[in-house]
Amino acid sequence: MSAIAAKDWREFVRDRRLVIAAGLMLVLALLALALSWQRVASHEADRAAAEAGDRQTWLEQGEQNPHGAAHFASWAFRPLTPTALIDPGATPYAPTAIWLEAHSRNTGNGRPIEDRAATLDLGEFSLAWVLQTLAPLLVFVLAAGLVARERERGTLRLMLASGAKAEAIVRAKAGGLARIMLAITAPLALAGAAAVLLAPAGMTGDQALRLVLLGGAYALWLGLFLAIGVAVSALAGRTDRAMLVLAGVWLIAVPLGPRLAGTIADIAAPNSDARAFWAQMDADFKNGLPGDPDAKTRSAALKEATLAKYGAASLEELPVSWDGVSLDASERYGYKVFDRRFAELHAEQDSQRAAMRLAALVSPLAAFQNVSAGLAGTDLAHHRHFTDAAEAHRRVAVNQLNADLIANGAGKTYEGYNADRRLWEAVPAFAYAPPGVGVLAGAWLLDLAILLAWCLGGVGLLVFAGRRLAREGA
Amino acid sequence: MLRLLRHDLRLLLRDRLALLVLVIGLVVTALAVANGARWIDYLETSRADFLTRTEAAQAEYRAKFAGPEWTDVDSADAPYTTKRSFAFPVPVLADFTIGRSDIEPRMAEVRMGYRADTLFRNYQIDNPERLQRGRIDLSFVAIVVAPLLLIALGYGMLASDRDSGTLRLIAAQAGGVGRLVAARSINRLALVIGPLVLGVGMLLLTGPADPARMTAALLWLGAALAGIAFWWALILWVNALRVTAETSAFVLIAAWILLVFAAPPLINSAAQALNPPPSRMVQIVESRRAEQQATETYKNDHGTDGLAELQRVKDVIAQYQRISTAHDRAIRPLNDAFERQLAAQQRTVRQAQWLSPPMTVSNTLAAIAGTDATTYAGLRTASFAYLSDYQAALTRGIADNRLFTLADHDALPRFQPPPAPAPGWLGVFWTLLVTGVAMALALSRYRQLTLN
Repeated sequence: MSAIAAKDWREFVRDRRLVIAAGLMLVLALLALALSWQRVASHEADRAAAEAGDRQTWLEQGEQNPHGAAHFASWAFRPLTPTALIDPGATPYAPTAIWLEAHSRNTGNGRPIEDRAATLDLGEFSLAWVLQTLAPLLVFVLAAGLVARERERGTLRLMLASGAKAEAIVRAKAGGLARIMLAITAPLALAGAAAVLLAPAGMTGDQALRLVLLGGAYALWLGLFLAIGVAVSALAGRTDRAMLVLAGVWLIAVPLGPRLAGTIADIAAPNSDARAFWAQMDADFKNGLPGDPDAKTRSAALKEATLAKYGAASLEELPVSWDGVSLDASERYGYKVFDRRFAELHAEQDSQRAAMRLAALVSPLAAFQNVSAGLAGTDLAHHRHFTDAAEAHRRVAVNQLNADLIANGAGKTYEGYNADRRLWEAVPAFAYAPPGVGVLAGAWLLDLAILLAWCLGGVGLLVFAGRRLAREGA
Repeated sequence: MLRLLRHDLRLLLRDRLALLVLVIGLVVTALAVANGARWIDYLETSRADFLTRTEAAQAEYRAKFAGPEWTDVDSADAPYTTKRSFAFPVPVLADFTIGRSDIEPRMAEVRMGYRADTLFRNYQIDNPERLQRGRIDLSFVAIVVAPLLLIALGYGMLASDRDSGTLRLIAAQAGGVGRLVAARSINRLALVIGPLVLGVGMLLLTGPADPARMTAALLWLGAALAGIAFWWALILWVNALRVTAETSAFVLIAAWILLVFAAPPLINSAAQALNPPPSRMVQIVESRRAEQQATETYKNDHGTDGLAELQRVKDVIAQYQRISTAHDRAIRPLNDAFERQLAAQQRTVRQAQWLSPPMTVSNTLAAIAGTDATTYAGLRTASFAYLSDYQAALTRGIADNRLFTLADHDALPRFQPPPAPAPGWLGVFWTLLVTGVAMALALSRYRQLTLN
């Protein structure tokens, strides 16, 4: 059987069309890797400069009321980890920076996709894009003729007549193709690993683990297409028919699958309208969440409770700043509103992901994209982890500023109390630590199970093709 | 010829592959139509809801302004509390080509203190994963799916017969290679174009009753058909070469990959690498520095203690306006540099798109639909100009320490969208030229095929 694999390797090397196709894919992948490296490196350099500049601006804002400083606020900039240069995942479509101002849980600015001239958006050019889209097609092109061509030439009949078992021939063909693909993708794996190792953010144990897991996931991914490709070649009568069937499978699995997923999500769990989302929150503040009193009633109750707490007859007699107390209460009610409405938004996004998984019935890519981006740290769960961390920091900072105003602003007008650099220095800078690979694995484990099910199906198809070949002969 | 057409159609419909192509074409078109109809309805509804909600609030505000309880302090504060809202028009064929309509801002409120960099904010609540997956629209069908379906039907149109040695016989029965190619072309093209035309008709019937849509849809269909013609010419040319059906399929799929799938991301990436816009993060930091410099004595929006006195309110408002204007002036060059780089990216894409006729057609379809980068850049520029006019009107309203009046309020400008830019047809002409050349080459080779 190793002779069959060796012969397939020789045929591959001799067929200039295939060598050119494989070479082109290799060049494209390396180009994508270089462009991604440049993109991630410049993002990280800009982020480091922006964080330092923003902190400096914060510290040098001069004397002002702490609430003014809470409005001036600071920014959280999302880091890109080294594995993001393998698979940018959802990051081009996610905001890069969030303004952490008082009263508002902002959703962020600077989605990279908005800064591009693309109209035909078929995906972010990256190593993952090449491996997710072009590599399966290359596998199919290489696989299409593996068995079918033997049949066309009559050599399959010869092999079977010489005592070779059909199942073993199919297995050997799959093994030979795996060897060819390994030769093509090994330089890519090495280049990808080198790029991650040399990435500006530096290598950590978690990144190394992510890299290894990504390698395993992509091996599974290409293995699936390899099994389907060889099986179709064995089942189809002619090479051109096999190629057409495989091109059809690829069309459905790769360009159509993810878009089908998006379309299903649109229908099953449509996006909230941004303006309506914020208008709802404005109404929540004004009228209160269901079961809560409106803003005027809340304010009156707060006034009553504060006067009672300090045993004061009027606001002027309070030993603390009423403005500060009022702002603090308003801010904390805001947290309640944000928690509720953002939980609904996140639930909507989770429903969309669940709906998108339905497309995995016809396209494994719909699930595999989640696995790949999850391992690269560029999926929705990682984005949400960042925005949640930013929001947690915003609350810490705003609470700290309000606490200062409450304690020191008593009996003074808004303009009458100004804090200075000492308070600005006491407010910590936002420091984000991306989560380890296991922390958010729950987001993609089901997708991994779907991918494994597809792989099992692929192997089953391969076994079926071998048996049918044995039954029908050449 | 009609008999030949009917005969070929019968044979074609007996082929499972042709039926599969028809089914895929119909299913994908149905999805595109459903998605497009839902999308334009969403755009129309969200626009109407926003304008209704904000204009009702503005009308209520105006009624208070004109009412008896309105005080001079309210008037002094009015430049800050007054708002205007605007929404971009819904792109005429957003249901045909979703394009950038799902990532660009579509509406905003304008008030004192808003700047070009904060005019559109918090509109980015969409699920980034959902956006990453993309959407199926008619453009996707015309540019991505239809060519592959055509390749499936046409790769072996003559090559298969040549492989089996029956080409001469079949061509002789048909009365010549030309007649055979014509009959097979018409039937195969109909099988792929049919669902697309059906989709266009369905969207026209179900979409908004806008008289401009019919003309736009016809232009859109014309451009889409030019793209399909390009692929058919390529298929005919490859079939005219003396290659096997397998090689024909290989070459055509490789061409599709290269022109449709690889070229756009590659060209877009190259355009961005060659014209990198200033970093958004740098822009943010520069903006904050400018704000800090312009705000030394500015107190934020909760100076209610001080707002008791009329003059104080006037001062605070005037100071705020001066600071905002100074800030806007300071960061405008950076914003302009950003827009210039985006325009440069688009120029690079336009220059490089000649390498890929499908990309030129795709860009033309988006331009006709009003969902392309140029249209949105024009709308953004118009909205920034409107913002400047609005702020200038506010500044005039509070000049010389005078009170902002109801007349000033009513005289605040309203947003006027710019006329939609005319789509460039050079790309389509280029596609037709390439199509003509490929077709001429194919026909000249077919003429050389003799039947004896």
